[in-house]
Amino acid sequence: MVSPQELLYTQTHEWAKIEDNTVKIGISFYLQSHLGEITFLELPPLGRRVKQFEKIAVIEAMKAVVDIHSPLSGEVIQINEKLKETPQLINSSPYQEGWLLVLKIENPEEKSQLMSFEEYEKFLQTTG
Amino acid sequence: MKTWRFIQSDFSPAFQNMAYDEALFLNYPVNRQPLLRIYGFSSLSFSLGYFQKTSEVLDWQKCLKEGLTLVRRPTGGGLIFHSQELTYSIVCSKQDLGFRKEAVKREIIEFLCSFLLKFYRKLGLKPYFCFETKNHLENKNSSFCLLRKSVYDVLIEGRKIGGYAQKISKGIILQQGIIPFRVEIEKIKKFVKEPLEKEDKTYTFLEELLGRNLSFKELSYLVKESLEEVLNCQLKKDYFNSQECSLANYLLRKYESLEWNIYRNLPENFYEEAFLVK
Repeated sequence: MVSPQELLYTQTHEWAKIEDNTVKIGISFYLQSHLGEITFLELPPLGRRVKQFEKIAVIEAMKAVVDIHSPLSGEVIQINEKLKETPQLINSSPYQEGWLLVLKIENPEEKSQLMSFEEYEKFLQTTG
Repeated sequence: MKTWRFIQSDFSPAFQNMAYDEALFLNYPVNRQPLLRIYGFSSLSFSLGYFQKTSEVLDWQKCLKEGLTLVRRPTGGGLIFHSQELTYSIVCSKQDLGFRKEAVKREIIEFLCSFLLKFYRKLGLKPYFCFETKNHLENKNSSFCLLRKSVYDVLIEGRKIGGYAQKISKGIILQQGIIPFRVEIEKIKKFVKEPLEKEDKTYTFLEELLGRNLSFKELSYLVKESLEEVLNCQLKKDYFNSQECSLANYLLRKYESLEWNIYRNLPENFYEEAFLVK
């Protein structure tokens, strides 16, 4: 089980769950709720290397194509196959069944650029 | 009063139109100047939404054989046939629209589409958003933009007019949209997989509603004026800058390729190289 309080967040509303040298990535409840029903999803191939805050996935909701960015640099080692058939899992379960992918972390120090749950909550309330 | 750029470009091939729209979007962070671009298509063209599967929607081989252009948009939504229309794109950030950074997408779309209501009212029509009707999501699975109703599509007399779609990345928005003068279903029936009827009452277009032709120039002016009024801004005539032209020239490789247009494939490092052209 993943608790939103245990995760780290980006300013573009992705979450990161770090375990040893890997990071599981998804989008926050806030982002999915404001995008509306997700109808399409594009995930990267295994082995793709990505830098921190670069585009890692693309989703479509209500005729808008939205880029999803990687919280950390790394190499894609797993993607959520269930989402290929049912991208709506991102809406119904953004922190559990709706996770997007797992990266092998290249630079653990980058996590200092991510927000804690409390900081993210504050970011949502005060940024403007 | 805020100032936006106003770029009136020519009637150009579909590949070029998409390349310029994406170049304006990618280049926005450089000077953060929001813009409206008005343009047209120089030849009969289909544009597919980013995620559409070409072979499920179109007989694309027949399209190419008969000289129609086919391009995949950077934005979402359904299939569009570009013929008798005014096409526009808007590039801006949420802050340009007066929204806070974390504003929700639905608020932004509603605001960005509200200038269309003003535009159609200036023509003496009575437009409203689709969500204001009971059965507002009918045909939501149609592959064809004109037949697919979404909450912020504009209806007149119960029928959809035009359409829009967006691309959003890091708070920057590209909205592409069409305002149809005339829809010529007979010209496209043989290319699309979904059955289309000439007498379909799902959609409408300006010539049918107004009973007369309007010039591209006249409509361009009304679009510009409507956006200025909704945004309380001034649209100042401008041109593509050299960076945007270089980027668009590079992006042409993407939009001219069958790999992108038919299969949505791109070389892995395509965008890294795009930024080297600046």
